[in-house]
Amino acid sequence: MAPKKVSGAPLAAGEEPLTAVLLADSFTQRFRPMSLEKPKVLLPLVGVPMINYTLEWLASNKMVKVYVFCCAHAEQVKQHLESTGWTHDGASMDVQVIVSTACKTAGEALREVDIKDVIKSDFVLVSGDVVSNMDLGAALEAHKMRRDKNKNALMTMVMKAGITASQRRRRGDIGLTLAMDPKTRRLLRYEEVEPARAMPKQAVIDAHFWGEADEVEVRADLADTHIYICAPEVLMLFSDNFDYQNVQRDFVLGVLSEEELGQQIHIHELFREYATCVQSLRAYDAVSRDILQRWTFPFVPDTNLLPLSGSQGVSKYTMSLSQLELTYREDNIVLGRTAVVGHDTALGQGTVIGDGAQVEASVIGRDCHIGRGAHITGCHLLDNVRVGDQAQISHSLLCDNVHVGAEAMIFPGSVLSFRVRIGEGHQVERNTNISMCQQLQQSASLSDDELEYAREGATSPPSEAAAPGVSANGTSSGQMDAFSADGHGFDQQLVGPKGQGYRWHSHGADVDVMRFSIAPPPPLRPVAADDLSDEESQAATNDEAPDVQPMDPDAAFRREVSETFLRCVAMGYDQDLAVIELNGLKIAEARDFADNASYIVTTILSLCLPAAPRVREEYRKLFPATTPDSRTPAGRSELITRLKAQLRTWAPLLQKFLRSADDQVNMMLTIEEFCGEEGIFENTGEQGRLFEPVFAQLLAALYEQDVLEEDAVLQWAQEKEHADEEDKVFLRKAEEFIQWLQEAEEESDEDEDDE
Amino acid sequence: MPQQGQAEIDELCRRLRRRQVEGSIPTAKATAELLRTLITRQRHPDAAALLSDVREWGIQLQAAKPLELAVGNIVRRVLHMIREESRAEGMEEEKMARAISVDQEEKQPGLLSRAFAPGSSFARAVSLHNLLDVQHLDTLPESAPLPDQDDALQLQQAALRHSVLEPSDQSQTSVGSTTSSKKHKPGNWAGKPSIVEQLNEFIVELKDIDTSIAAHWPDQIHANDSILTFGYSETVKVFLLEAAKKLDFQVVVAEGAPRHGGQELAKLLAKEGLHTTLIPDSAIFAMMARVNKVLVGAHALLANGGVMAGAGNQLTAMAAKHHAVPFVVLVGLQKLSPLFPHDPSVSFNDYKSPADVMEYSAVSEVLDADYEAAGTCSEDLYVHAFNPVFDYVPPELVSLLVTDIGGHIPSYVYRLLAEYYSREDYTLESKALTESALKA
Repeated sequence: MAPKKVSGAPLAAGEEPLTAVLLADSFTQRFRPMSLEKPKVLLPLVGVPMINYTLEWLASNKMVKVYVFCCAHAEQVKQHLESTGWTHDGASMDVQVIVSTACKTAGEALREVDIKDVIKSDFVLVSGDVVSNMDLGAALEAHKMRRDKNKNALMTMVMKAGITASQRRRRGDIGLTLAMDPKTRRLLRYEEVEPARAMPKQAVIDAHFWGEADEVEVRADLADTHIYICAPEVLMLFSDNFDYQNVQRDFVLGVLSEEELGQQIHIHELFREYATCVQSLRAYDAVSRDILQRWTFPFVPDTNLLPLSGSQGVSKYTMSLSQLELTYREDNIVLGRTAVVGHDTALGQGTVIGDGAQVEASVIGRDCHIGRGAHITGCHLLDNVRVGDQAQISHSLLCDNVHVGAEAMIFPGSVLSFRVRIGEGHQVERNTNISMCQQLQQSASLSDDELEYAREGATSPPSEAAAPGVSANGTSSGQMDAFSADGHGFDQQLVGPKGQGYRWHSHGADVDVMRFSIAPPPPLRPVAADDLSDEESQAATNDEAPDVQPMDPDAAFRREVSETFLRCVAMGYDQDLAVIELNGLKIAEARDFADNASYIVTTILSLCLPAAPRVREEYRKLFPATTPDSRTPAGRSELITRLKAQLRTWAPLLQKFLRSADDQVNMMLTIEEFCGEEGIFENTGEQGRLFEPVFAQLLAALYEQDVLEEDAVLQWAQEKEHADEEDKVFLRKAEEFIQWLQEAEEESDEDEDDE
Repeated sequence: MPQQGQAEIDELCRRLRRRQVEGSIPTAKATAELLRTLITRQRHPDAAALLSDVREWGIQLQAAKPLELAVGNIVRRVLHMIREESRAEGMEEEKMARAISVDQEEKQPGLLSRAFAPGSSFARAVSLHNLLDVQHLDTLPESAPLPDQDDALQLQQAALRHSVLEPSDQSQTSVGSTTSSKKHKPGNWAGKPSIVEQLNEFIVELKDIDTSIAAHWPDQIHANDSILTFGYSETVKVFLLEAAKKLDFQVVVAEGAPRHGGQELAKLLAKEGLHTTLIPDSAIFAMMARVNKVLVGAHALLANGGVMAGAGNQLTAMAAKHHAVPFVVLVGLQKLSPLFPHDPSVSFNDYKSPADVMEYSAVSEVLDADYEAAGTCSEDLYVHAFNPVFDYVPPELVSLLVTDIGGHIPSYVYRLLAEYYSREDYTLESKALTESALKA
């Protein structure tokens, strides 16, 4: 293509034109189901499509050429770029579109760019969801200086410093543990920490780092901004290593592990400047709020800097700060006399808000109608949304043309995709995704790469081979399923009377659902377990980032074990599989067999009682509904019967983990804690105390199933002899059983003597 | 709408929006240069067409950054130049016409009494600068109607003089047209070169505006004075350095948090050998009793004599008032705006990123803390930090304004306005344009 006239700043002699590669696809499915119909980069953040933030930021950093790489919905992205004038002649930078619909990962996309052979000099690699106001100048200069000295300084990663664990939680980010040379800013080690998983016990830093540098800085407060300044060799490396999928996990780790090649990655830290990328709905919400709070200045609504989607031109927001509440309004807004518009709210053109309606901390798009007395809190309404009178919506995302009937209620975390209708008076549960696209494949696939939405008439589970030309981020509009005629075939339970839409199950662990939900993260510690719904308290415990509030590692491990075990029970795995699973856990967490066994036993015990509040919804059916009253003999025998039934199945599993008498003693001590609701079993709501009266029978049952051996019991009893009086409660309860054991032992001794 | 040149306008709009042009002098310069290019390049049959085009461009540019009043000021100035030029032209013609047909009036009232006669409205408002401009006054119609009608009258006269009126494609906007200049070749208005000439002069003036202001230092700074200033202002820096060449005096600089421009200024001044003291903003009141004068820069000078200046200037001004210390504002005339602070089109403040005020991590830290305390919903828990850029200092707190043409008290600003702008241009918006078109 002929070079266009660039009206930007003229380049100084000898300076290379600044080039950027923008990946207009995130290669994940976190924005499903919206991303089936509209590419994620075109979703508006406070009224403006995300990609415009990135492009405008690149333009204000005097980029000369930008290659926009499109995969999913390439046509839509292209059309957008055209209608907003980015690809026009005379635009401030030259935007070129590269389309390749077959790419499923960032790695493939970069290989594709390499094949096109358009990048000759150092370039900026960003994803299309970056929101930033940083001045690239300093980073570029530092990168250039390093490159001049050392051709192997391949990449500079821009990182935002000072991100705390709670900030990560707010944005659904992963944690990063980095080691770097504080003088040269060279990255030495890169490790991602999944927030929901337990913190790794240790990070290994090679001692030889100190051979090259006097100091090594270990940082956990950096967040990746997905802004990378790369040398052209980066693309070559991606081509050479065709298994590189992802920039961070593959490329960065790859370069660091092949240190002998001498290639280096450096870090550029941001302090006051803002940079982040919108990787999930949680981040979408958080970044929207940051924009409303002006962290992204000058990319804030009232500078009207960014073009809206299509040919709507720039917005016309004005800011007002009455009573210290920031609101942004465009013109032609009709506000009811008694309507209240609260803090951090943006109202788009042509929006009508009825009398008595309350809107706060929300972004309302253009031409929305909000009925009388409706309450909207913390929501994102895109264009042309209708909300009926008295409806209540909180912390949800409502896409274009959604209708919410009068008096309907939408609970936090819900996502209503394009054109969904919710019937009058209907209630939408927490974290419900509703879309007009039907999801055919219901199997719980944990893989991010697998495609499981409906393709035309395809009912068989789509395999990767079956879906060529469809990237992981979505499908072209032709593949949108044919939804049935209005009002027919929709689940009334889901969308209410006269509603329309299908449920969209988001896959991945519940932890991730909570983590990436548009609703704000639940509190770290549940205020009162009873007040909160199950999901909330469960996610609360799961979301606990270990470095915020150091959680008892035992409790964490215990939960891991019990969840794994419950999964095995629920899925009906056979014992060998369960052993493998649990063993895996044990190794991952550097625990011993006794730990495993102890927590399996307590889980078995809790399976005899009604589910505790923390138990996940899907496992609840495994638990009995009734609570046996262990004060009555009938209740006691009921409890023991239940226990025996469980043990008959699982005793062999336990045996596998109990390698020695010491292990068994450990297990007994844990059982003791469980029955006494002490230590990590305190306040879990598991009602372990119900087992207290039947402690002896409990031990007997274990003994019967060969889980406990008499040696172990006696050893335990011996240890307990010397304990304080209050610790002997259980010893007393077990006295009878121990006596009986001792007698039996003597007998068996005699038997052995006989042999 | 002129399609030509739209690209340049868009480009400047974009740079204004992106905050790539900041500060009133660069903005004024960029605007003036763009207007010069456009005026030179494009053809306008008469002054009216030029007026309407310049106004049109001005509206676009001002809309790109409503906060930067300098854009509008420059556009108004150019409009004023065009009006003056075309009026002068009209008068020339009229004089000639009158010389032929009408006898000179025998008795003329005194200059001053004519100038202040009720109902008289001069093409150029009377001021000390043009009061004795005899020729100028002579050419005025005796019973001068309102300016707009004046234009219409002139139009009629022109029509009378030239029996055939060219079918005007500018009929909607022909109000400003004083003389459809059929004498000149239909391509371009004859007054243009003069406008461009004036613009050139103006751009040169802009470049040295700080030096011109600094030339007035002898009236403001005396030996062994102690001067307090707030934050960073290029104008103040030049002024102080100029004075320091001749005098020995002390400067106290308030740092101007959160941007801390004062720290930078203090460093620069100290490097030049001035006796400089840096104080935090919180010490301004305490320091005020010890200084002789406060000298600050401003962002804009408003029609009532009040100024928009960096955040923190109002408290400085109030402290100065309390201690009866003169509060002197150094302001170039490109910052003179005919708008009043209550004007809805003046957006007073810019709120920048709270990053200067607060750590980003504080946003969510408080979120967690409040959870425990209140147990309320998270959306109420974000810390709201504001980072306003400007203060409005009302005229009663300003002792003196030092402009490039000398010192004035705030109540004199209306005279300055009359000097540089035409009343018709005070509101740039197209509404005013169509209204006057209707009147005609």
